[in-house]
Amino acid sequence: MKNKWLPMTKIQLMGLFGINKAKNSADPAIKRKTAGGLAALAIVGAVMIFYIVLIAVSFCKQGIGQHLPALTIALTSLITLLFSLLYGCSSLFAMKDYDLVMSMPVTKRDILISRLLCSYIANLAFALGVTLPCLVVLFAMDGFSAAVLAVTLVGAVFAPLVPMAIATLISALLTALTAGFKYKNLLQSLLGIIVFAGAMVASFSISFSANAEQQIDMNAMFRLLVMNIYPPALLIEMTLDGAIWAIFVFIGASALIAALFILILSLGYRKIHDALTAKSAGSKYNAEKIRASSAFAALVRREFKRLFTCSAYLLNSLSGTLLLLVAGIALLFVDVPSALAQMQLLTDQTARLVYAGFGILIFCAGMSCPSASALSLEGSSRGQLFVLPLSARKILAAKAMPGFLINTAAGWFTSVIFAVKIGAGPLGWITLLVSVPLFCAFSALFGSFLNVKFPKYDWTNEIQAVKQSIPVMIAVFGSMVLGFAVILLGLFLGFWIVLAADILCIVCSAAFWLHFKRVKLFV
Amino acid sequence: MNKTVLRIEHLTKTYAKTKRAVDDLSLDVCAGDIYGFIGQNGAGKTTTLRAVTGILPFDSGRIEIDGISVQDDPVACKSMIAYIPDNPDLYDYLTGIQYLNYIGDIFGVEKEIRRERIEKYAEMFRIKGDLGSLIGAYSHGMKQKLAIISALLHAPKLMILDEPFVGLDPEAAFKIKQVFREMCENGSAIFFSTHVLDVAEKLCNKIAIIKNGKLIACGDIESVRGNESLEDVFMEVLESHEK
Repeated sequence: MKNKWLPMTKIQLMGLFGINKAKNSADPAIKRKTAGGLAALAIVGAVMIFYIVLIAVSFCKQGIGQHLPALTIALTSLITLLFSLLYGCSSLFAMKDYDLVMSMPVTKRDILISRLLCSYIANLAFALGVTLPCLVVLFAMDGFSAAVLAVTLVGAVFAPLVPMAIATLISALLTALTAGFKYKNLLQSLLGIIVFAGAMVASFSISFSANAEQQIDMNAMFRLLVMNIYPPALLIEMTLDGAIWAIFVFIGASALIAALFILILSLGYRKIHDALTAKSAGSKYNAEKIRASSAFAALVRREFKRLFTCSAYLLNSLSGTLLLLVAGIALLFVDVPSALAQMQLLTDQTARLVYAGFGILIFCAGMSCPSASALSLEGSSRGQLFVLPLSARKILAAKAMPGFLINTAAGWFTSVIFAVKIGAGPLGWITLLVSVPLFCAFSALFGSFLNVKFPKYDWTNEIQAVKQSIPVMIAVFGSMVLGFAVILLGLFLGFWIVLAADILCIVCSAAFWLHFKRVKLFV
Repeated sequence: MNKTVLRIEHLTKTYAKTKRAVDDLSLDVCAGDIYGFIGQNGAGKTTTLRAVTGILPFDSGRIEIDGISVQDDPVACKSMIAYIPDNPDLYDYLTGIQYLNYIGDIFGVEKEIRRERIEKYAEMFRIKGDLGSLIGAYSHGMKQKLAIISALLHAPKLMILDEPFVGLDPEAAFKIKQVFREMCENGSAIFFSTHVLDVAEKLCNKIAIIKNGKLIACGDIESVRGNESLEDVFMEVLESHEK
């Protein structure tokens, strides 16, 4: 077969969501679990599409629906860039099946293409999931246009290539630079965090600087917005304005950059892999290194160690926490009273902002759920854990601890800044400070619960467990949906929505805790 | 007769409701026994061992460790055993000493006892100098040695091992046999699977032969073997059960 990347890609895709396993298993429990996980994902996806449709309808009602195609492509490209930075290049290097794959008669280019295609397909699915509902709304309200359909679809298909190439190249460079260091995992994690945070701050500051341009007309303002979010998406806007050549430039540039990226990376592929898999000699053993602690403390320590020695796990599991911290730090430099005055909010609306702010915390902290993949990460060594004389509840609680502690600390940090900046009253302060640990506990225990229900032990690279598994997707997208709902409802219902959320968190956390007592962990 | 440490009664385990991996298997392992469990590939050895450790659920039957049911109180049972799988997939991101400390904490081994045992066994297996290195840098044999040291750390009543001699150098294999004998003299029991009939013959006082999930011979090695070599008996027993 000429295109050897094709069967390699197929094999990787077959591992996604456990569909192939369920298809070929005679065990009905496996089929039920997979179907349940996919159904939960479908529900979350449906709610997200509902939100997208609401936004698209409001655009069309304001007469600016024609900007939707370019805007959605710009936004999905930006999100692809940020997610690809999180994803890093761990799917390319140091995979468990490296020896097997490299021993086969395939080129490094084939390997790279097959690995990148999986990420591309995931990004494309996301881009189409956002773009298609917008197009349906646009055509329903403003009339059908074959040209708009064709240009938007072509744009969506090619849009993920450049952000993926840029992000993966940055990650590969960081990996190559740090591969020779003794504490390379920690170094990669730190540099990854810096690059991710930098990209977020830059994209926020550039995107929203367009708000200052209030005197120019709507069309020019949207062009500027698209330009600021993701410049190549302007070519889509230009094509829709009549410049047909622009779409060909978009396609050509995307394909060329992707091809160049694969070519460059294939040159250093083996070198980077070898450097990554080489282990340092470590320090000399001495008797002082023997110390004792409780079983639970030992478990929690190991969870932290796992989190901080795998950059893909750290970045993917704590992206929302980073977002929260960046938001908190950014708030320090924002003149909130002036911004509120500009928005012409009424006094009681300003007071309700504190409760809507809790929705942002849910949005961010809920996305950071290491416990949703902590059990899956035990992988083929899970027997080593399950054979220990520990109750399942203790194991799952230990797995929930890192997420709970880190998110609570970050949540309090941002909440305090937020409360000070908007001048929250005593009830607002109490609400934020109490609600943060309650939600973080719920989120961490929910992650453990999901991971017990839908474990993914058969991964060949950590990224398959920390990003592409059913529990992680439910936790990430579920928290986005929930957070968005609390933001909206918080503006109308104020304190009551947070109180309801708190009660729900307490009840659900207690239910998970009781449920964990009945859980049995088997290989 | 010595006290029964492990009792398996009518154990049956089926995979995917069709393949019967273990079929009505019963056996007793007593304190002081070195019990070899032999059979062909896919005979059901690993399934039995995993069920005994409590990490694999089974369809019917009963497993007791020192009189406690694995199903009723798995945590109590697990605190009395140590299990070393055929390919110990230890945590690559920990150093050897971090892993031993972790296991020591889980089993509540006191600091001084821990220190003493780590020193003793790490020196015995010649990996003391490597305990500060990441497990990811260890060879298969070193990982095996580390797994054995971690298993010995809490002085288990029952040690369960799946192919323990694979990947070990001759010196380490010799020493582990010595450790087994020492443990059994102190009242513990060893239950291990192996393909190496020579090892089973020289080391074990009892053996069990399993085929297609069924126990086809078990008991004292002398009574099973008679005047023949274990290899001859093994082949004969397998052939007679094929007819």
